[in-house]
Amino acid sequence: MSQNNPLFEPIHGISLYDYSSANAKLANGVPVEAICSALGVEIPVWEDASQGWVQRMQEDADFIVISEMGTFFAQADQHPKLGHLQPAAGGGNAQNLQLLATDRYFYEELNGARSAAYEAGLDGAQWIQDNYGISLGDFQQVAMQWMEQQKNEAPEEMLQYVNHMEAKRQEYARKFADENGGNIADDVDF
Amino acid sequence: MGLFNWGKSKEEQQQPPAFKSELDALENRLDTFLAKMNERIDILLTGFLQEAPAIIATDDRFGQAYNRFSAAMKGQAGNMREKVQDVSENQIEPVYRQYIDTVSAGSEAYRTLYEWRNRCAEKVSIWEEQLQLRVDQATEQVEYKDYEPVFSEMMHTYYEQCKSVNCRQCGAPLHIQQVYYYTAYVTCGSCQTQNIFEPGVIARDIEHTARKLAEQRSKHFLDLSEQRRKEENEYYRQMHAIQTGLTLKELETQSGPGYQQLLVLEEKRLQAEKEAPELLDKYYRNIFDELNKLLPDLKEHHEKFFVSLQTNYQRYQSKRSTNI
Repeated sequence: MSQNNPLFEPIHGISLYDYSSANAKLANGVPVEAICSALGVEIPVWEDASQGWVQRMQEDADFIVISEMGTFFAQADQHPKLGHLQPAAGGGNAQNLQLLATDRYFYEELNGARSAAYEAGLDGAQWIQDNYGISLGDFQQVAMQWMEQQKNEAPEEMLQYVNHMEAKRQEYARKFADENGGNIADDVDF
Repeated sequence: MGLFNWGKSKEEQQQPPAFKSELDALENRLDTFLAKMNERIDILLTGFLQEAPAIIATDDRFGQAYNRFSAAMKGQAGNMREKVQDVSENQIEPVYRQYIDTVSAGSEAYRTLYEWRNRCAEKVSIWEEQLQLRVDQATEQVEYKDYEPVFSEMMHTYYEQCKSVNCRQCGAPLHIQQVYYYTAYVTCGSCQTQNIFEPGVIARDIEHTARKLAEQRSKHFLDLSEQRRKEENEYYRQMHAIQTGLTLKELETQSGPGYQQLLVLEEKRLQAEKEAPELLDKYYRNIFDELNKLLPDLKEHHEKFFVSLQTNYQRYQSKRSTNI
């Protein structure tokens, strides 16, 4: 798909795989200097290429660049130059991250919890970081893996996961509401 | 009970059904419940409107604190919506289902029950629409910002800051005359040294703010498009109401006052249906014309972006078939 398509031409030598993996690492707290060093470019080159890739996505009416970016984002750890980069604070909770990547129900539970946290006025991504040691970047990387798998799922299976997520969202919404003294209309009865 | 009221006298058929008082009581409870929920919406939105400006005033450049605050308000609105839906599904619908099989189709009791259910559903639906409308209006009111002075101030500050940027090698001013949206190489006019210029936070926000300003300058086209879309929907609704009242003869001969009224409405509907997407097109075109004026160096990209955007929104435009 990406072969012979000018939208996928590297920008200043930075390919879409480089750009996507770099963004996955940046989202995990790897500093931009470390990214540039690993790619062998200076910051102005990286930023110009970065801007160029954003523009390519905006100019792509068929969303193939952004779709491909999602696939590459999930493969950041296999990137030959960037895969090994880790934030100074460490790689987070490896056990929970492993569970997130292998247990679909756990992944859906955290999706539901994150939505409920935002609806309760909390920073949902930070809540996952604080409670499970999983950064936003790592979470999104795993999300991309599951999204790839979703493409081959039967509708009933997909519905099963959606229902699980919704049930968990409601469960966590109740928990957050209780912690905050309840919802505004809890005492209004029919 | 019985097929087509078989075996029932006319008097029996016209008697108010035994469950009528139960339905009335439930409907009254629904009215009271929705009124109480409206009071809570008042409290929620009053608080939101009062507190939001102070949060926005002290927020970071990404507006994270306000986003959390706004999400919490919408979360509470969502919670109320779920509560009302729960009442509809678990208090109203079961009663309808409990009795609908006990009455014969076409009977007074059937009509009473059917209308009661529709009325309750309509009340819930209107309540939900109003909730959404009020949340949207409050959000729009709080988030409104006149981007004209904001953008002018940003550009002014950017160029003021650029005046004090000197070459790291010879110290001569770099005379920056263009907008650098991110870190860039700038060559010194005096000694030709390539400097790395980091334009700062303001420059990084210029493109986003320009887009907001361009959207604000073009919004009247969007409002008109939305207005025409609503009108088209309303003409269609009126046509549907007239169509159901037409006689078989009027339908077959395509004549009569009702049919003539239908034709007039169809003409208006077609005009609105034609104009709504044209106005939407004007809206997006105007955004990019404004962006070209605000950031002329990005014109080539703007044009490609416009084509991409247009391809997408045109992909989902469709027309009704009314068979008139």
